[in-house]
Order: sequence, then structure tokens, then C-alpha cells
Amino acid sequence: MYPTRVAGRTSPVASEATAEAAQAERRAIEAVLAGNRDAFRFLVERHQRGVHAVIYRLVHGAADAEDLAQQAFLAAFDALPQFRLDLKFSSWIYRIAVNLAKDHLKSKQRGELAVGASDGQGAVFAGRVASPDSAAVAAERQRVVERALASLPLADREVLVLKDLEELSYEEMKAILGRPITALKIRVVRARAKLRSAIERLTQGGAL
Amino acid sequence: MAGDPDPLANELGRLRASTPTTSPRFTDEVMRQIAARRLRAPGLLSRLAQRLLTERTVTLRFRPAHLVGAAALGALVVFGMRAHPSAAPARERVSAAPVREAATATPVREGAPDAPVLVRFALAAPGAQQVSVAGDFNGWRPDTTPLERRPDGTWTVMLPLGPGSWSYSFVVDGKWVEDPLADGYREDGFGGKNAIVRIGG
Repeated sequence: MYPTRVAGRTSPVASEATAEAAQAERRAIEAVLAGNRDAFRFLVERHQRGVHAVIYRLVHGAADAEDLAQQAFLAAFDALPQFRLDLKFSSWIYRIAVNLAKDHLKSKQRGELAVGASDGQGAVFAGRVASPDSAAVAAERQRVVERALASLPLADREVLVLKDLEELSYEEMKAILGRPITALKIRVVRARAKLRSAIERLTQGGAL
Repeated sequence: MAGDPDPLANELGRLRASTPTTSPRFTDEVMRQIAARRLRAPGLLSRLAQRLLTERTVTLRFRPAHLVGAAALGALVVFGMRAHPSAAPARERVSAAPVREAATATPVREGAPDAPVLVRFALAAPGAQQVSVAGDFNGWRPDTTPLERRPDGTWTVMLPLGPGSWSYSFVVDGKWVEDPLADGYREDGFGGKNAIVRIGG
């Protein structure tokens, strides 16, 4: 009955450990519901990396991300009586995290642009000469990808963050975003295409 | 989970490693704020907390109900807490099951006979807007213990109950609904009767 995959990189051989982890998680949730708040620590420790990473990539700000990730866990704690034990806690907390990030972006009116590939920022990368050191090249390339990702609209960013950064399954994404798998697959393909052209825009000076 | 050959996806995967992590204080800060929150369910619940972390024996019963339309199904699941968290896995018993659950096994109540148990109250009421349970354990307030709706139309809530005999009744959209196949019944003093769940003993 337990899912064979937790958030993050998990191979099929890990499924037994995953089932055990899911059991432990379930026990922790039941304990919290019964009044043992300390049991919530287990859930915080287990999911803070993923929750924080998703929020960080959606809101582009380390300070905000840390704060929002904390809020996500507090919201989860408050709403825990509504958690259905047949669900995955990870999907549930990710959903809270994504929604919090969206609210945050909306309230700050900076949802779609932020650090963008548009204009100014692109110039940073344009005309860049090849670095003599391959590690530096890779690091530079990574910064470009990062920058390009940040330039995408939120709807594209969220699917890429969940699918390609956090490597979640479409099933999990469906649980988190509440959209049909087919629609999510299409969105991922389109988002990658957009990302590709954003990367090209950012690197065109060096590439051509 | 077909592998994704897109190289761009792999590149994004590598970004994960460069994503900043939470500060070392993160967990403590969350837990501090949680500790500062007002207790939602004081009293009985917190005493049981540690014991809820142990493995449990499960007794499960499904029985048809008739009061909430034709599709109603009442169910009560009793999780007995084991005294020692070692050894045997949880066992499950299903009796008189008209739906889904097929297996039947002997109920096992390990651990101390007076151990507190988690009781799952469940009612299949797909058409209902609101379901709650009221009983001795919550002062018979119909609004304090709502059940959560599951996608299949079953409403459930889990409550820790100490040993004894507890009267209860479901409240479906404001109407009191008796569990038709409870452990027993007790006159409610208003010409009707309440269901009883017996724990321990």
C-alpha cells in the first residue's frame, strides 16, 4: 500500500526502506494528532530540504524562502487534523509549500518577472568568453540554467522544479498541483522548451 | 516512471545540488513556534502521545447502517496500544464485512488490558455535507469533533479513548444518527438510544 517513492531521488531497491519511512511518518503524524508536538520534529527534519528547495526556486530569495518554509511547516502543523493518512505527507506539505510560495509572489506582485532573462540580466552573460577551467565552465553554465529557470513564468517554473529538480513522479505532481497528469506532461515539455530558449538567449553572445 | 532522456532535465537535476539548504536553526525554530502555539486539544490527548508511537493491534469492523440514506455504512476501528513496542506486527480483524475488506482474522489485544486505544469512527455518507461525532469523550458537543471526508464518501476521525464504555452518536448535517451496529446501546434519556464503544476489559 505504501508508495515506492519518496520525494527526491529514490531507486526501486529503496522501496522497502521507503515503506518503513512511510510507516514512521504515519506514526509521527498520529502522535502529533494525539498531542505529542515533539513528534512533528521528525516530519520537519525529513522534509525541510525539499520544501525549502521548492520554495526557494519559486520565490527566488533565500531569506524569504527560509521564512516561507517555516510557515509551510507551521501551516501543516495547524492543518494536520485534516491530513488524510492515506495520502503521502510529502505531497501534502509540498502542496502547502507551493501554495504559500504562490501567495507570497502574488502579494509581492513579482510573480512573473523577478530576476529575468529579459534585457539587463541577459547582458551579464552575453559576450562571455570561455573559461579556461572546465569546472568554472560548468559552474557558469549552471548559473545560466538557474537564471533561465528564474526567468520563466511561475506555471512553467513550478512543474520544472517539481519534475526535474525534485524529480517527483507525475502522480505526486498531480497530488501537489491538483492537475491531470496529461496536462502536467504537456506543461513540462513546453516549460523545458521555454527554458531551452531562455538559456539560448542568455548564452547567445558566447555561443555565436 | 519512465526515465526522462531530456538532457535539460538532467541539468536541472544538477541544480538541486546547488540549491541553498535551510539554516541549522530551521528545525528548532519551527519547533519553538509550534511549542508556543495554543493547545488545540488539551487534557486527555497529550498523556497518550508517547504510547501512540508504539505498534498497535487493530480491530476493524464494518457494518451496514441505514440511517443516512441507503448508502450509509458505519464503521468503528479500534487500535489497541501495545505495552511493548517490540515484536509482532499489527493484526487486523474484519467481521461482518459487507464491502471491500475480505479477510477475517482473530482480533488480538496485546499489551495491557487497560491500555488506551485509538478508535477510528467512520461513517459512509457520500451525500453528507458535514459529519461529526459527539459523545462522552467530548461533552456531547456536536461541533468539536468533525469527521474528514475521504474521496470514497467515507467520513472518518480517530480519537484516543481510555478504558471504559463510551457513548457516542454521529451527527450528520445536524441530525443525530445512531450507529446501528455498535458494541451496545444505552438509553439517551430522551426516548432514544446512543451507541457504545467499549475499550479494554
